[in-house]
Amino acid sequence: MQFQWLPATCGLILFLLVWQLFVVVTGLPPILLPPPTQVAMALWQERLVLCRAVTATFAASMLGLCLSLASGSILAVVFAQSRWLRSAFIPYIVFLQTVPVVAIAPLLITWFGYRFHTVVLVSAIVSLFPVVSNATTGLISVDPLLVDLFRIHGASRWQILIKLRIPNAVRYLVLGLRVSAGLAVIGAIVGELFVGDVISRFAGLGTIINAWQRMVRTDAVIAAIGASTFLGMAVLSIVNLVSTRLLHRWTDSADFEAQG
Amino acid sequence: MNVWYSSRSGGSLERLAVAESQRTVARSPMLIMVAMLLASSGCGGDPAQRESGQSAGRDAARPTTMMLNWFPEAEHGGFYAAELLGFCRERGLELEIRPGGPAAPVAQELVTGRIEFAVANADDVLLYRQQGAPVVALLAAMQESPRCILVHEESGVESLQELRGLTLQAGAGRPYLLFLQARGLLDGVQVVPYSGVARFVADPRSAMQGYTFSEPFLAQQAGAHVRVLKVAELGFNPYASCLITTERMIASQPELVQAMVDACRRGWLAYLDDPQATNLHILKLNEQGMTLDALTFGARELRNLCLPEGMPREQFGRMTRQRWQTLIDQFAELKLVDPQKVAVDSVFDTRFIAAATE
Amino acid sequence: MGVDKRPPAITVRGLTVRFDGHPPVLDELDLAVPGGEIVAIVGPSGCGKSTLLRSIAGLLAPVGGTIEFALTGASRDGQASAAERSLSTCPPAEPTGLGYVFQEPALLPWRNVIENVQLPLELQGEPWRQQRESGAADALRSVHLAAASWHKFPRQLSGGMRMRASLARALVVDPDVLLLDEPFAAVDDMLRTLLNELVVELWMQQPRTILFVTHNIAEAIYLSHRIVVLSRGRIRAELDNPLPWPRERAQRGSSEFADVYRQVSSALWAAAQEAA
Repeated sequence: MQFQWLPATCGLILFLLVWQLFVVVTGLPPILLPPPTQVAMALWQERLVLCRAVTATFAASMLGLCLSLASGSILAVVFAQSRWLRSAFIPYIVFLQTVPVVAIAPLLITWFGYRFHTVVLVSAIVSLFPVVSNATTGLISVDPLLVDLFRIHGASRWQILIKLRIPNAVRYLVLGLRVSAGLAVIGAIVGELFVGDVISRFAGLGTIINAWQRMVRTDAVIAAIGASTFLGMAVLSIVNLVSTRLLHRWTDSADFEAQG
Repeated sequence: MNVWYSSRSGGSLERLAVAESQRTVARSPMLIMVAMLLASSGCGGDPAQRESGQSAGRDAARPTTMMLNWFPEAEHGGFYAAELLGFCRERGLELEIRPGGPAAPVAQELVTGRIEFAVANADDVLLYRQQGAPVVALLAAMQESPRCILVHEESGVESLQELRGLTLQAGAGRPYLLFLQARGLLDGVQVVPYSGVARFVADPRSAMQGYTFSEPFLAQQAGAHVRVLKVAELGFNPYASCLITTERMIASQPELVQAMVDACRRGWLAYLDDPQATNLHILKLNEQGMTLDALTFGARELRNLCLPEGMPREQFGRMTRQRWQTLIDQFAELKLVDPQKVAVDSVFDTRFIAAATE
Repeated sequence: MGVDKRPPAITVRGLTVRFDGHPPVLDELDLAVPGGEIVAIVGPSGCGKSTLLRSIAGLLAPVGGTIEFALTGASRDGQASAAERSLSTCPPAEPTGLGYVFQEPALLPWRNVIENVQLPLELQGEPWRQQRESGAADALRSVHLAAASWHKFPRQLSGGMRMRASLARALVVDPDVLLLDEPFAAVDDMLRTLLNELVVELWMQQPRTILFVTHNIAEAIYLSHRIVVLSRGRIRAELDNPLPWPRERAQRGSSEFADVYRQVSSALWAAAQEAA
C-alpha cells in the first residue's frame, strides 16, 4: 500500500484534536493523560536528551538487525541442507522466540556485562526468528521445475545453492527483515531497560522511558514512546530502501506467480 | 431478603473486579491510559461515595484503601501495625493495604480516587506535585532518609566522594542520583539499572543503592563485607514513608483523614516498640523472599530513622516547613520541579499529625 | 509398429517406473527414437508421457529397464540408479547433449533474458563470459527474440516471448536430443501455431532428435515424423507420419492431414478403451 501524505496527515491532526478535546472536556489530570500540547512541550524541552537516546537506540537496533541478518542467514543455509537438521534445531529457535527476553536479559548481562554490545545482542536475539524462518522457507521452497532444470544441466549442490536457492530466498528474507526491523528496535529498548547507563553514556530510549516513568513524567514518557515509534519506522524505511534500491532484482515479484 | 442478598453480593463482586484490574493496571503508560478510560467511564468510581451509603445504615467500619510504594517491608511496618493491632478498627476504619512495587502508580491511583491513601517518600511527593497531581503529605514516618550507597569494604571506598571507577546499581530517574551527579560524584561511575543484591555481592568493584534498614543486612547475609554511605550526610535528606492523600480528601472528609493519621501514628509507635507480631504478618504478605531476620534488623534500624536521638516519642511523624522548603530548593536546582508550580505549603499538612499528638 | 528408417538415437528397453504403493506409471516400456527425427508422444492425461521424458532426462530413477543414448554412447541402468533416487539433487549421468523445455517457461525471475539463456553454459562450466554471451545471443536469434528484449526480465515479457527464451535456453548447449514436455500447452492457438512453426524451422536448420510430448493431436501431426500413442504406461500404437516435409501452415487444412488426424484419433480412442 502506498503511503498517502495528505490523508495520513489529516488522520494525525484529527487524532490529536480528539485527544486534546477529550482531555479538556473530561478534565483529566495530566499525570494520567496529558494533552498533546503538553506532550509537544515535553518533546521540545527534552529534544536533546531524546535525540541522544534515539541515536543510541538506533545504533543498537541497526547493529542488532545486522547481526541477526548475518547469523540468521547462515543458520538458514545450514537448515536448508536437510530436513533432519531442521527438525533437530528449529523447535529451539522457536523456543528462543517464545522465551521472554525480559527473562533472559539478566543472564545475558551476567555473561556479557553492562555494555552496549549486550543491548545489541538482545536486539539481535529478538529479531532473529523472522530472519531464520523466512530465509529457510525461501531456500527450500524453490520451484521444483527449476531444480529439475539445474539437474538436467548437471548442476552441483553448491551451484543450486548459489544460483537458485539463495537468489530465491532474497525476497523471503526481505519480508522477514521487515518484521525484524520493528522487533530489533523493541529488543534494543528492552535491552536498555536492563543495561542502559541511567546517568549518561548510552542512555537509550529504554533507559529514559524507565527514568521518566519513575519520575511520573507522563508527558515525557509519551514523547519518548512517539520517538520509539518514529525510530521503528525509520529502521523499517531503511530496510525498504535497501530492498528497493539494491535488491529489486530479487524482490520485484510482480507476475512472479504467473510465470513461476 | 432475597433482593438484599443479591444486591450485596453484586456489590462486592464488582469491588473484587475493580481491585483485580487495579493490580494489573498502570505498569506502563499505555495501561495507565486504559485505566484512565475505565475510571472516566465510571467503573472505578469513588469508593468513598459508594461505600458511605452502605456503612451508614449498619454499624460497620468504613473501608478504605492504602497503597504502598514498595513490596511489604519494614518501612511499612507502622501502617501494617495500625491495621493488625486494631487501631484502624478502633477509629472506625477497615483498612486494606495494597502492596506496591517498582514504579507503583500511587499518584495515578490517588488522583483517580481508586485509593484514598498511599505511602510515598518526600521526593516522590514533589515529583507528583510537579506533574499536577494534588497530593499532600500527612505524616513522615522516617525523619532521616534511609537512602544509602553500599560499597564493599575491600574496595577501599570510604565516602561518596570516592565512587569513581565503580559500577553502581541504581534505579533510573531517582532524584538522589541527579543530586549526586550535579555534585560531580558520579563522574567516572558506570550507573547501571538496579538488579539486586546478588550481582553486587559478586563484584567487589560494584556499588548499589539501598535503604540502610534493608540492603546492608541482605548483602552481609550473602557474605559481603559492606560499607554503608548515607546520602543524607551530603544534605539530601527527604522524609521517607510519608502517609499521603489528596487535597480533595482533606477538603471533603477531614474526619476520615484524621482517623487515618491517628491510627497510623499509634501503629508506628507500637511497631517501633515491639515489631515482632507485625513482622510475622509482613513476612506472610511479602512474596519477594523476605526473611524474619531481615525484618527484625529493619525494625531496629527504623527506630533511629523514625525517632532520631533527641526526638521525643510524642513528636513522631512531624514535618517542618523548613525541611520541605530545603527539598524544594534542591529539586529546583536540579530542574526537577518548578518552584513557581510547587508551593511549599501545598505539599504537606501538619494539622492532622498535630491533632493526633494532642 | 513402424520400421526404423535411421539408427536409433535413444533406445528404451523394458522401462518401468513405479512410485511407492501405486501401480507402475511406466510398465516395461520399449521405445526407439531414430536419430534426427521428431517423435511425438500423445496420450490421455496421466498416461506416463511426462514420466517417460523425465526418465530419459535422468530426473527420475526407473525401477527397471535401460535407456541408451546412441550419440553419446552413455546408458542409464535402472537398477544402478535406483540408489541415486534418494539423493534428490544428484546430477544425471550424462548432462551434456540434452535440452529440455518444460510446460512452463521456468525462467529465473531475477535474471534477464540473456542471463537466463546463459545459465546452462554456466552450470556446465563454460568459464568465459564472452563465450557464454555469444552462445546465448546465437540461441536467442535462432528463436527470433529481438535484441531489444534480451535485457528485460521475464516479468516484462509476454507469454510467447518467455516461451521463446525457454526454447533458446534449451538450445544454447547445442543438444543432440531435445526433450519438449508439452511446452505449448498453456498458450493460445495462434501462438501455438507460430511456435510450432518455429520448432519446424529449427529442425530444418539442424535436424536434431526431438522427443515431443503433447496432448494436442494437430500439433503432434504437424511437428512429427512419427507419432507414438501412450496409454497406461505402455505404447499402444506407433504411426509413421506420411505428411511431406517441409511442413507449412497450409498443410493443416489438407485431406492428408485430416487422414492422419483420424488415424491418431482412433488409435487414441482404442488405447483409452483398452485401458478402461
